[in-house]
Amino acid sequence: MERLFIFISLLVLTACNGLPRDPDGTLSRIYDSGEIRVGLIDNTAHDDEAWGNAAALISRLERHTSATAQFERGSAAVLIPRLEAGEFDLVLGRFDVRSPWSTRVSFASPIAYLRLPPEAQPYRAALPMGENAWIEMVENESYLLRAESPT
Amino acid sequence: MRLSIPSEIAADLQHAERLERWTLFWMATVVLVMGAAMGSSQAMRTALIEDVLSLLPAIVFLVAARFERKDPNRKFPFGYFRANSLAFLIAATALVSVGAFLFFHSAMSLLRTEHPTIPPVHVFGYNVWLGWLMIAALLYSIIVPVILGRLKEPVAKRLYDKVLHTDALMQKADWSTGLAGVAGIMGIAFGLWWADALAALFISFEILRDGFRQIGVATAELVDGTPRQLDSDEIAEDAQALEQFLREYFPEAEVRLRETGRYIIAHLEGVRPPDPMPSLRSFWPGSDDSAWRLEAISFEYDESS
Repeated sequence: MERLFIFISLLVLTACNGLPRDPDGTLSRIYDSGEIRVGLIDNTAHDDEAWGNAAALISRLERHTSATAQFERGSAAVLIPRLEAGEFDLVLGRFDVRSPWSTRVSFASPIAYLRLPPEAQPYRAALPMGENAWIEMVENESYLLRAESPT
Repeated sequence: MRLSIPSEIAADLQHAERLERWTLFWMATVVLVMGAAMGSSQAMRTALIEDVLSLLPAIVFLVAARFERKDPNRKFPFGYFRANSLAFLIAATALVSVGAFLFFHSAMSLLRTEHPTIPPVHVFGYNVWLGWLMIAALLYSIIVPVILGRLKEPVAKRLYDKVLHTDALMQKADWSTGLAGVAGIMGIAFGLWWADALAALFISFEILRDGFRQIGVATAELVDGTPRQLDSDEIAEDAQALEQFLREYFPEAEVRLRETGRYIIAHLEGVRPPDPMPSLRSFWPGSDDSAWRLEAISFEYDESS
């Protein structure tokens, strides 16, 4: 059973290279336009690890897509609806584990934790819902970044 | 009136109980595998809830079978044969709940134009898109109920067991939701956000139709309707034959049939019981193998009229 399981998984994996795709084509738009539209939420007090990892994440994404990042700052209340509307590809900020946005956007793995009492709060990327190819790329890079950086 | 399980079906009943215990075990493994691959996906959560609910018919079958074997007592002088009828209503209701749940959930995600997110996961240093793992889990969730459902269907027919039959239908619901899930996730992989919800919506119609039909049959039994077929609200063929036979045998009697659990009871009004009373079996027009179905004939005769 277990072997069959692995076999089927591998079969599906090899058969479907290039999948998943984005329903709204975020990733291919980034390739075509050569630009990644990034929103930065100002709710983050200066934190070396968070800023450092944010810069590292963006430059990794730029390298992967041969695109350049364009930044815009604002509050979550402004940036998140614009992310939903497709005006941003990703919004970076401090998003609580119980973030009220979690039903409207998808979060990648945290790239840093901000030590804000009473609990450490994740600093991470918010992404448009269901753009699974783009989400896969950002998630993998976020995860690798955190796995490689010493904490 | 017979007060124990007829010997003709004792072996089949034991077999059915074994099948239901297997169902509980294997469906539990399905639930675990699905839970492990679920992540935060709503679609998978629906399939998982469906799998958990689908254990209900198997559980009520086992409970009812245990009761059915109990001897009558002062508090339950007619025995516990109708435990099966009650179990049947519960099982049918579970089937409808599954259908309604699936219908509501998929319709809502379509209306809200929810774009389901399926992220990659990190297992043993590899990044794998969770969708592939979900498909693997769903394939497992298809294989198990296909096999179980196939094993149950013939036994349910031999036992005239509606709970077992409903449970086999539940397995059909299980594997078809699994299949819809695979189609849905493949759709998502190709960037079709609506594929998952649409597939689930079609399946939910099918399950609801099965479920409502079964509730109809269960209700017929509980309000003393004439015995129905296992899978439709039509009067059962063997009951029709019995009714006709009794009408010819006792032309002046009013013949009424009802069902308790898997057994038929005949009521004859306006005739005296024949003397000597022939064996119960001799009134059964069908094959000898199913003669156990006729549990009792009762006669009502008002001497004053």
